[in-house]
Amino acid sequence: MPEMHRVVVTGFGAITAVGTWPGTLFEQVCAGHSGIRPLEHQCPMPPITMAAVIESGIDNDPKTAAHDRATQLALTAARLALAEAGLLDDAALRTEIGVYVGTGAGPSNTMDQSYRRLYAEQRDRVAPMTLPRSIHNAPASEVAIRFGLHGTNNTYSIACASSAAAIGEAMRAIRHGYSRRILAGGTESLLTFGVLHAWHALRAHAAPAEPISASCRPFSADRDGLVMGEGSGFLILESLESAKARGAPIWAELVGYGASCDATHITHPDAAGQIVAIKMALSEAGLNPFDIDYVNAHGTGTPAGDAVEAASLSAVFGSHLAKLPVSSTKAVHGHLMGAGGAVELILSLAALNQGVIPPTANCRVPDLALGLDMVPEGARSAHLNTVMSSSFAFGGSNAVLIAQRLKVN
Amino acid sequence: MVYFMSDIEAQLYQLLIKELPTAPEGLTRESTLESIGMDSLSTIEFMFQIEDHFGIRFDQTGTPPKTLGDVFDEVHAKLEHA
Repeated sequence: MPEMHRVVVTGFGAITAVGTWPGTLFEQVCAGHSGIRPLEHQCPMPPITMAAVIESGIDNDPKTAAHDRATQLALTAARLALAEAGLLDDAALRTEIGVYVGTGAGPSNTMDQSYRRLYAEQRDRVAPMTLPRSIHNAPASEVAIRFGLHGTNNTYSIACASSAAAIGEAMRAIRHGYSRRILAGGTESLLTFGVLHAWHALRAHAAPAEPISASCRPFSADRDGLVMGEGSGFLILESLESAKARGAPIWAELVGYGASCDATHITHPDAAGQIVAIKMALSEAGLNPFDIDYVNAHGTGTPAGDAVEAASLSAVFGSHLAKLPVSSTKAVHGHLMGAGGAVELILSLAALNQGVIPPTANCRVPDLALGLDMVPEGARSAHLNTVMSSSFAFGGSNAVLIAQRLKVN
Repeated sequence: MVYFMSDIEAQLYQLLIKELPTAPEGLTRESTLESIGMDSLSTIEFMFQIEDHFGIRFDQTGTPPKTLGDVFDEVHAKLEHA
């Protein structure tokens, strides 16, 4: 039996419509300032006209700009994470780092643009790099190339739980001794004409509200759907001994990961499957439900999704749920699809570190039937020891992560 | 950098640096594409981007360009006859 290793987080980076980490991201989330805004006029205009679109912060050097937007976001977030973990200036330390990326649809902008050339503009050819820039593992590969990361390079795709799975699988790889250090997270940028049409057709998207920034309202009785965002988040996971050996800052210990599949319906979530994933994460962490101090929920803002998630939490947490803050940050950064799990775990770790629970923004009519303390009033100060982040995806895939303050023992 | 002072060459330079693995230094007309880190794939992407940007088409026959000077001369020739 190989030796088991404790896994810690030594840095993270993210980019969203409301800024970066490090930067303004957590501040904006805590202030409830939504990044959902009108999409710039396009021709033809898609049926969905708003999103949490990133307007600044993407690395703007020509080498980054050449890539698909999803890869650009990954390169930016990966650089921020490596810098925070003190690995950006040490090529030797970076060599063995693995890269685990979650992305729901991969670099879709490049393919969308190539279809537009062929079908709409009636051009006779597409750029030679169309295919290499469109492959699902292009973000993971380009991050490895840019920063010289020669470890295992994996891409996970289970829709909106993709990056949570990437982080969980990376945690296992370190725990079981296959890697010492992994850059794990996700990226997504799906605000393309075709994809916006597809979401519109599915009727899961919110209608524009007044103001438009209030269009996504998780856990509110008047919620009517999700709002798409784009972004990327990466964490540096390391074995505790390797983090200590290099004197790295330790933000938290990753202690639990649960993964399951509803196996009931391609889009409608099922509480039974979610409960399995939550209990698995608790069991792996060796924790009881009452040990959890904060849950960053999946909380997309769809009527059915939020209700099923509340039922799952109620089944697992029982009477503890009344005292357990559960918030969704998607009203601010939008639904980041495959990148959501990573960015939301980062926000959970920021909450743990700063002692501030982010609110559920736009929860203007708290849905009391859900039985949740959804932190509707605004950010709340609290001493947190243990936090949980849930991702429940189309396809029925569920991924739950638990992190806690490093206990010295 | 003196070779990239004209508008056309400045535009070519912007297209070129997207395809190079590292930031270029000391480029001259005599720099071979291979010596500045271009491989076969990045070269065809570079040529495609030039064609798309300037609305020209290079001849598919003849000797492929070896140096930056070869590329720039071909662009100038095509633009003059456009």
